[in-house]
Amino acid sequence: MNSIIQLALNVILGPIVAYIIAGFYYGFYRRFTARIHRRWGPPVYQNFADNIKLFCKDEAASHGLMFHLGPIIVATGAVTSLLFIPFFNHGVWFNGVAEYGNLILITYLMVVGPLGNALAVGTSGNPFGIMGVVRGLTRLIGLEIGMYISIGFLMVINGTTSLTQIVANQVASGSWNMMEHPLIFIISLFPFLGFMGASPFDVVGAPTEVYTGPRAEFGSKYLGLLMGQSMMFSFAKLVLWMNLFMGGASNFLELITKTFALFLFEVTIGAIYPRLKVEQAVDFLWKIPTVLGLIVGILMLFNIGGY
Amino acid sequence: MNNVILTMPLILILMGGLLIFLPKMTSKITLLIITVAMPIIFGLYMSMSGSISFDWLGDGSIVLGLALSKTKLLFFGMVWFSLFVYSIANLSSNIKEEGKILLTAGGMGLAIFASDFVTLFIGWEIMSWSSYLPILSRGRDVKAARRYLVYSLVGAAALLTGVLILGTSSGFSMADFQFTKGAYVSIPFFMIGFLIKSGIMPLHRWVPSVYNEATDLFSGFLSGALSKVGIYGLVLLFTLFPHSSLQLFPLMGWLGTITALFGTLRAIREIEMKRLLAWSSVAQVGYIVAAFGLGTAEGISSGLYHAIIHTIIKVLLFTIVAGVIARTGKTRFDQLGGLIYKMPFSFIAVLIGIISLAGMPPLGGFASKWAIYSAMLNSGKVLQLVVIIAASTAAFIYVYKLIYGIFLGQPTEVNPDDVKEISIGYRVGVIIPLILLIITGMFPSLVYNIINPVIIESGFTGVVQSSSHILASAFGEYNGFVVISVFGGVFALILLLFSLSKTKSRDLHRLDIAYAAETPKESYPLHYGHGMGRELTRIPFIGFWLSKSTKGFYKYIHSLMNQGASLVRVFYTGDISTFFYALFVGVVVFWFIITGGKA
Repeated sequence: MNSIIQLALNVILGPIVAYIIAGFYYGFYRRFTARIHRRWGPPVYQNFADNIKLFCKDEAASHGLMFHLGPIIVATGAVTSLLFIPFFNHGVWFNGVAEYGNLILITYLMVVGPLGNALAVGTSGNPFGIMGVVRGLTRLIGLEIGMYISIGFLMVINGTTSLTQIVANQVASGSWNMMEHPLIFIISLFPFLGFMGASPFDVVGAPTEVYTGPRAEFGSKYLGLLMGQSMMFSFAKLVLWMNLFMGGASNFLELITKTFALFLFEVTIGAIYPRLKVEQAVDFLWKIPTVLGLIVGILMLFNIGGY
Repeated sequence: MNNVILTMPLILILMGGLLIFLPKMTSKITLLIITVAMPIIFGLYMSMSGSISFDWLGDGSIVLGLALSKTKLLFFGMVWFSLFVYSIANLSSNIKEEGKILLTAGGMGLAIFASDFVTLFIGWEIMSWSSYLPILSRGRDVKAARRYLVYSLVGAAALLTGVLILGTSSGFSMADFQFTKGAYVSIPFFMIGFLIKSGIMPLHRWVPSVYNEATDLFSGFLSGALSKVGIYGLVLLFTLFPHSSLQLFPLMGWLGTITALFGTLRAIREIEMKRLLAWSSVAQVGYIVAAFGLGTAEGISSGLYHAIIHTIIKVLLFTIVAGVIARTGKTRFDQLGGLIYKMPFSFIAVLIGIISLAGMPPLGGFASKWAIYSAMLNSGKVLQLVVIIAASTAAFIYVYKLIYGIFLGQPTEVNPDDVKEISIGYRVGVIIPLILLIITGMFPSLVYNIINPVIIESGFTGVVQSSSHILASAFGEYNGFVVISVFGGVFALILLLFSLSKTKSRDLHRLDIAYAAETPKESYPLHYGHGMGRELTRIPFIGFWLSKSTKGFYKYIHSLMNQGASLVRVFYTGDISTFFYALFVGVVVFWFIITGGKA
């Protein structure tokens, strides 16, 4: 009975905590980029205010049932993948349903959202939205190549696809995969930037800029839901990378420190580099990680180490 | 009484011959009765082994025979499943081709149940020739049908060569098979024969045009059943030959991997619905062959798993697409669009199909792909895994193109107000595939109950699965039931919370979109169905490979053949006197060779 209550609490608390932490992270992000632009920028809680505002609008423009369900599928994908990623490397709290899943499942759950989004955008009938969707899906090819080169090696080295086990191995050995396998970590950073939506591998997301992008048709509560899920989803990815390469976290302070370090890295790179066109991004993402991956493979084959 | 089951392929062929002469409705209903009766007969005479045979020459040198085994039953099950969905959907179709379908299915049955190589070859030929007829019957593109025939003949020639080499060294019977030098030499020939039927690059060129040219429902049967007969051949090699003799399999695995990637990229570019599905079939069979190439128990089992799932998905998708074509008369993505609210059932069916085809959780397609990935990890093939993942990710684009081009976006040539949901037969036909995809998603290791006996028959140890809803491998496990429940639960919760919002949704007119501050007119080209995937060609690497094709290779072979033929033409001009000169020279040369010039 106790475990059921615990599971229920985990399932409910995980996304809420993720939402709050990521909300502040993105508040920081807005101030950070503002300072680079020589502006003051909004307060750190601005994202929450924006999100509440979007949910309180009187009316939402819709294009039928599938359009209505699309953002919900996107949010479901984000929350489900969050639930399969453990927050801490010990104990049972905030572990969601991580024990029933594995890394391959997580990477696939992460793309459920984009497909739901694609369905809704498709229903809206806006050609510019579709353009954005196809760009996003095309970019995904590049991202997954780098992602699977790095996690493929990690899975082979650890002999398991289980994320919990990979974290446990790092705790047991006392050293992080980031230090143990620096080359693999570097490979994984390219898709990390892309998955976090940072330049140079980002895709234009309307309506913040020109009206070309997956979000072109969404307004009010739909945009609110998409915004909320994107914050949770970003946190999920931060925690995933922390688990894969930084040995997980043992308490909240560690969780926030490590994820914030990753976030800061992503924000800094994103602020410095300009955006690549999608085809350039994919070209880069399949070349560089593949070359590095081949080096790792050769080092591994001859047992040299240092990968 | 095992013989009753084994006479099924023969009965199918006989009935096929009969149905050609029956009127349309009678033959449709007869086909349905036959397909429904088949599992019932099997249930009544339930047996996993047994055989019948016929001494052809009377001296026991060639004994034609059929035998039962679990492998054979699994593959014939796939054929039956494709036939079953076909026969239901066929009730709503106008085309009469039941006789040819039954002939094809009977040929497949003969090839699968064959207990000697001669019967295998006979069944193979019946299958090839009778499936040629429905492809030819439309007469739109005779070239495509001829191409199918040429590839089938090359495959059959390779197979026949293999059979003869094997037969002369160790006999034709599979039961008395002995591994000899001749048997070893025959392996590549068998592989070529089987890979042509599966459509693996570079032997795939017939697939897209043939699937496109075949009648709409028959394409589903081709994709669901015909390619699986090739896969059956590969399993047969594992069953018969010592595994150490199959050194070519890793190479074949790489061919499959490359096929998966390039098949997918080609599919993205297609503008015809059925060609897209055909390329997708090429790619999916590539996954299966890539898994087989690993040569391990996990590899074979995951490949078989994917074969089963692929049969279900492709039969489903081809049937729906056939229904849409029958309703609208349009076959291309730039002619359709915006049909979602007119065809809600088809939309949901295609949605479930593409979620499985893309290998997304929580449905069945994910389970088989997961099994393939863990098998590859288990063999340490990271590079192969990455290529397969790239293919699998690129597949999102074409599956999205499929659903977007037909159901989403803005209508183009077909006014949604004029069309209705697809005919009832098509809808009823796909219900069982839909249910199966959901069940395999929930209980991902249930399928291992039928895969494991096959694995054991092909000389491996079975893959142990402790629970029906946990799919396990040496590299970890996942719980399909939890995945589907968490996914469903989260979806319901978010839907509930979202409905609590006071914001009212207002449905807009379809042209009322964010379009650079103007309202587009009907005449604007708003449907993106034709252009989707063109971005891909701008990626240098992919663009380079997409601009290449195996056409050049075949052109080269063609020119070699032409040169050879013109060389023959020098002697064989059709003029009788030249022929006699040639004959005279030939005789003289021959005489010199025999006697050495001494009179």
